[in-house]
Amino acid sequence: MLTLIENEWLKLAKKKSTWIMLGLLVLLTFALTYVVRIGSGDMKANDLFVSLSEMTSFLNLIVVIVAASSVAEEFTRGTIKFLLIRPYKRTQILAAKAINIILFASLGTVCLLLSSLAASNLFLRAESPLSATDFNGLPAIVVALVYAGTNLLLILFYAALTMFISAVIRSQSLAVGLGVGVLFGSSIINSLMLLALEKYPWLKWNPFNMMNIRGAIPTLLGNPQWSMDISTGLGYWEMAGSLLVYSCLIYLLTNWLFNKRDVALN
Amino acid sequence: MTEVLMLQDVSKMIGTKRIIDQASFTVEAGQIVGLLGPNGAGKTTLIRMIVGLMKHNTGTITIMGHSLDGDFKQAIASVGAIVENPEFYNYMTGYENLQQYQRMAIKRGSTAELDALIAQVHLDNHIHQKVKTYSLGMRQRLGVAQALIHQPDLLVLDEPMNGLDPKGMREFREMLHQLRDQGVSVLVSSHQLSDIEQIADHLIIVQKGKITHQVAMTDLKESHNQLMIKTDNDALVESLLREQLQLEVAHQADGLRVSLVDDIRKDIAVLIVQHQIGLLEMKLQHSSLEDTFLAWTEEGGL
Repeated sequence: MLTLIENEWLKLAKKKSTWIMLGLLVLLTFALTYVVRIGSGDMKANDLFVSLSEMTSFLNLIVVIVAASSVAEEFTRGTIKFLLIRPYKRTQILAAKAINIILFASLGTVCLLLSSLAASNLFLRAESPLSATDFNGLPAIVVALVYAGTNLLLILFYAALTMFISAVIRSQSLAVGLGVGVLFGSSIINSLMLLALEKYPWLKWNPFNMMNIRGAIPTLLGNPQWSMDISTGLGYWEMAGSLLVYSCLIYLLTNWLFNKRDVALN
Repeated sequence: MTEVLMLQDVSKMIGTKRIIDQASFTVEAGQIVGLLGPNGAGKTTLIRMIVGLMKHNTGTITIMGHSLDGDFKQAIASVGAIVENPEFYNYMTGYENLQQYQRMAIKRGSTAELDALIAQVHLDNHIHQKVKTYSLGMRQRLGVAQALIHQPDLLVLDEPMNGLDPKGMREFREMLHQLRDQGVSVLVSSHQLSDIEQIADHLIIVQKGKITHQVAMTDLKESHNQLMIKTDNDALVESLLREQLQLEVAHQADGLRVSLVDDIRKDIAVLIVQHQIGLLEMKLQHSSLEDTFLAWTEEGGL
């Protein structure tokens, strides 16, 4: 199994686009922070750092692209034929891809944390990441880590969904497109769902409602005035648990499909 | 002889359409078996099922005694394959691509073994270049290296001769014979008899999802010498040949036809003359394998 993960990691690492995307993440974080400095020069570094410079959506976009390529590219290129005729179960091959995507997402999160910390201290009023914040007096680094960890839960969900789409349609460009579509479209679907929420309270358990989990962090950390004005009807832990459950269910479905379907190209 | 590959009553349905119908055949150790049939007959489907890319609906596929359904890992570990065109990760070098597959082998080979394999397929000069710079021929040779990297007992090749020039064909033929001498069995598909008549020991002919003929190449070649005899008393000659020379005779409107294993034209002529029968014509017909193949495929109603 470690062999498979090593192989997947090498496939990802040998691709230039992987590093270009990560470079872009760092670059954009700095650029965005600079724009904030122009707007409000006396902002404290930690005010931006705690929410990772609001760059998590871009990180999620990169992960969706990587997840889509990881599965669909094997079909588009035709390399899947050489991959599935090795002494490994298809379940293992898919699991290695999933683990590799999580590894990459973790690397991306670390990159984002570091560049957000560096950029906000460079362009805004420098502060120690250990100094207390409005979030119940928690150190800024702790709040940032909570945001990063919460975002990883979201990534899990997006990645599972993207892998599912890739396993269904098996076309790289279409899988990337659809994955990105879900990433940005989910907020639109979600806002429509919110309208119906009052009438059908059970709708609060729909997966798109869980996309609002970031909004529940301030309340979780005892700083409710920072909360977004969205009534999801669910607490942080309910959403976190749901995201995990939904991700697992989608992954299991993907695994079933990946095992079941014949590989007959062209 | 031991069976390297055994298919028993293998069928494949797509929807309600039966695209492979109860296929059974074996590949024995050290054999090169040609899977021959027109395009769309089901050769690639058979091959995809043998390497586990497609699942069969009924029957069993056994590789080196391991069932592909029950013991996939052990079964597939003995198989190396190229299905359709060899495809690689273009952004990696040939070497890095091969390393991917070497790591996935149950018995991981050494770097020295990898280098030896690269030399065997004549890729030493290009192996550290990115695969996107490779020509079709180089990709094919990299594909062969990929299929041999785990020292399989069975090599499965799907239409490997497509796009090869005559020199490439000869190299390919030599390589397969060399592999057979090393104890590797080969299953190779083609839609052209000329591609595999010089390679295969055995032929399996697939038509419309069914295996219609299985024959050893030597038998096929032997059955080719036919003697056409015309006399002024065909009926008498027919019975004489049957009774005195124990030959199989076909009586046709334009004369008699006898399949010859050994050349006994002289004995036949003497027999006819002894009985005072007028010998009008005697001709040895040497039909090509192509004729036989065509006759067979026409029988199948194509």
